Amino acid sequence: MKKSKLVLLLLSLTLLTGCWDERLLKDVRTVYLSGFDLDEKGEYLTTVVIRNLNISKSSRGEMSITNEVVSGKGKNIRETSLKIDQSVPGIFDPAKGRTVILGNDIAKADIFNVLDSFYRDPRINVNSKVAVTSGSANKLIQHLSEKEMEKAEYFFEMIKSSEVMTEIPSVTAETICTYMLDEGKDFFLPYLEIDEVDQTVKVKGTALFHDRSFTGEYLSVDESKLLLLFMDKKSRKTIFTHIIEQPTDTALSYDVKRVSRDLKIRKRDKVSVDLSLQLDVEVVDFPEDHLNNQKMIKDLNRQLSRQVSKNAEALFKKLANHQSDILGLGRELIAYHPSIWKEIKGKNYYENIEVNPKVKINIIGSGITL
Amino acid sequence: MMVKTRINQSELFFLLVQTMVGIGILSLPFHTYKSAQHDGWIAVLISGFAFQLVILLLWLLCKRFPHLTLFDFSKIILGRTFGNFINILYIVYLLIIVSYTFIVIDDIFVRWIFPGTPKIVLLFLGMVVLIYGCIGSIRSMVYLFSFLFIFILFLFFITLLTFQDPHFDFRYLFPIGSSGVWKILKGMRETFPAFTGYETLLIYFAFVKHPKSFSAMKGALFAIFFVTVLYTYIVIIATIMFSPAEIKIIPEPVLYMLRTIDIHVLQRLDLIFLSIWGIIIATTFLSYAYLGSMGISKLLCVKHSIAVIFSSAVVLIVSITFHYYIEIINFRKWAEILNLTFGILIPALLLLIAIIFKREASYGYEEK
Repeated sequence: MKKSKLVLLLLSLTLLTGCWDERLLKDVRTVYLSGFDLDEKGEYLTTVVIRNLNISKSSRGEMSITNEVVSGKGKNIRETSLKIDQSVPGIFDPAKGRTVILGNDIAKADIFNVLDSFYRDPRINVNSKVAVTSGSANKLIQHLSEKEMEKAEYFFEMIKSSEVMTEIPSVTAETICTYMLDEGKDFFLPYLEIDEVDQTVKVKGTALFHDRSFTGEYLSVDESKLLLLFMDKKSRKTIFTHIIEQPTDTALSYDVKRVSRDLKIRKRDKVSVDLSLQLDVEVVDFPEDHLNNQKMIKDLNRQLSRQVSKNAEALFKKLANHQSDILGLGRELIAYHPSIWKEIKGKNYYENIEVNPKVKINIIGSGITL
Repeated sequence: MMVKTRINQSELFFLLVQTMVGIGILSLPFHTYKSAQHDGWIAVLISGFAFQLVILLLWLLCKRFPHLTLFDFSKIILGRTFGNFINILYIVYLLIIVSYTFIVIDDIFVRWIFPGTPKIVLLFLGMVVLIYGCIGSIRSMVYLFSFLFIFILFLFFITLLTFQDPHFDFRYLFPIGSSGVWKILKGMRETFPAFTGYETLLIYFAFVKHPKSFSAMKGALFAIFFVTVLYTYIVIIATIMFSPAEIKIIPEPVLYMLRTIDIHVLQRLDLIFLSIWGIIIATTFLSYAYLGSMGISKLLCVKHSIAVIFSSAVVLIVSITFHYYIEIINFRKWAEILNLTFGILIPALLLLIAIIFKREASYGYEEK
C-alpha cells in the first residue's frame, strides 16, 4: 500500500500544471503605457511604450533600461497588437499596462470598442487608468522625452496625484465599463493636453462623456473638483482658491474638510433636482488674517458661498448642454422614483432634468494661526 | 445493512455545506439576473426557504429507515429488483454530477488561470484528488470537510475586499421588488442548481444519531440556512458592483469583481479566490463521488476502494468525452432537471409508496 501511494504521488508530480502557462519575463515585452487612435478611414492605431531590460553579459550583469515606442495599425485593437507583436522581438504582452490614453477621435467614437479586448482577456490588468487627450494619443506619447519615459509610470503617477487632490475622478478601465453599460449614469475621465507654453503634458481637467463617447467638452480642474464634491467623492485634499473682494482684494485658499450633500427630487413640468451642498472648510492661505473675528468669518462665508454657488450653476449648465449625467441622477430616479423615470427614460433623458445647485461654505478652521 | 459510523449535527452541517457550496457560487448572480434582475437576492431567499421544506420531506422519508442509506431502503420500499434499479439510477446521477462538476471546473480554470494548459491534464489532476480523497472512510471525509470549512469563511472574507472599490452603488438594488412576482419566481428556478447537494442528505442522514427526533435535522436545516445567507450576500454584492447591462455579459461576476480590486500588494485577487475555490469545489465532487462509490460497492458487493477506482474511471471517460463542448450552460439545465428529479421527485414518490404500503424499518439499535 505504501509503495502504491508513493507511485501515485510521483505520478501526480508529472501532472503539475504551470509548465504550459509559464511566461518568463525575459521572453515578453511588457507594456507600460498604451495609446489608441482612430483615423478617418476607421483604422485603429495603437502606440505603446515597451520597456526593455538589457542585462549585459560583458559588464557583469549590469542592467540598463531602454524604452521604445512602437505602433501598429489594424481593424480593431487586437489586430493592432498583433501588428505590434510582429514588429518587436519577443512576445508582445499588453497585460501589465498601467495607463491607457485615448486620442480625441477615438474617444468621440464608441470607446467600448477599444476596451472590449481588455475586458475579455483574463490576463490583462483592468485596473489601468484611462485618460483622454485633446490631440492624438500617438503624438502625446511621442512627445514624452526619454527622461520622462524612463520613469515608466509617468502618466500613471500624474493621474494618481491628481486623484489625491480630488481633481479628477478615480476611475479605471473596469469602472468605466460599469458606467458605460448603465443607462442612468455617465462618467468623466482625466483630460491631458500638451501645454503650448512649456511643452509638457498637463492634466487639463476632465473630459465629459455621454453614454459611451466623449462629448467634446471638458471641465476645468476647478469645475471637476466642484463636481466631485457634488458627487460626495472627496479624496484626501480638495483645495480651492478664490478672490475675496471685501475687505480688500485678496486670494483665499481653503481645503474642504467635510462634505454633506442633500438631494431632493421634485416633479414639475421638468424634473427638478435641488442639490444643496454644505462644505466645512479650513482656510489654508489668507494673508489678511484675523480669522478670529466672527463678523469677518460670517462675511467670508457669505462671499465664498455666493461665488461657489455661481460656479456650480455654470457647471451644471455645462453638463446639461452636453447631457452628461455624471451625478447619476438617472440612476437615482430609477431607484427611488421609478414612476418619474418611466416618463422620461430614453437616451436623452437628461434634457428633462433641471438641477438647482446651492452651496454653503462654512469656515471651521484656520490652521495653527488665526 | 445498517451503517456503523455515527456523526453529530455539526458534522452533518459541514458535510452538507461543503457539498452544496460549489460550482454554483461563481455564476449565481449572472443567472439570477437573467430572470429576476436586481431582485435576484429575493429569489435566493425564497428558494432557500423552499429548500428547507424539501429537506423536511427528505427527513420524513429517511426517518422511517433509521441508519439505512438510500441504497438500502430503496430495496425495502420497492423490493429487490426495483430497488436496485433505483440504486443504479442514483449511482448514474451522482457520477453525472461529478463529471459535470469536473467539466465546469476544467472550463473555468482553463479560461481564467491556465489558458495554455491542455484541459485533459487538469482532468487527470482532478482524478488524482478524487481517488485519494474518496478512498478513506466516512469519518475521514467528515474530518476533511470540517477542516476545509475554514476556506469557505476565507472566501467570504475575500469578497469583503470588494467594498474597497468606491464605485459600488446600492441604488442598483432599488426599487426593491420592482421586477415583479412572476420574474422573481422565475429567478428562483435559476437558483436551484446552486443548491444542488441537499439530496446527499438521503444517504448522509443514515449516519446521524437519533434520527427519529426532529433535532436530528438541526444540522441540515442550518446548512441550508447558511448556504442561503451566503448566496444572498454574493448576489447582493454582485448586483451593487455591476450595472444591469454589464452583469448580463459577465458569466462569472464573483470572479470578475475581484479582478478589479487592487490592494497594494496584490493585484489579482480573483486568482487567489479561484485557488481557494478549487478546494471548496473539490469537496463537492469528493462528496458526490464518495456516495457514488458507496452505491457501487453496495450494488456489486465489492470493496470500497475498487468502487472508487471504478467510478473515477467512469467520471474520467464521461468528462473527457464532453469536455470540449462550449455549451456548458446547456449542461447546467440538464443538471438542474436531474437534480430536481433525484432530489425531490423520486424521494417524494418513495415516501408516498412507503406511507401507502406502510414500509418501515425497525430500529436496529441505538447507541447510548
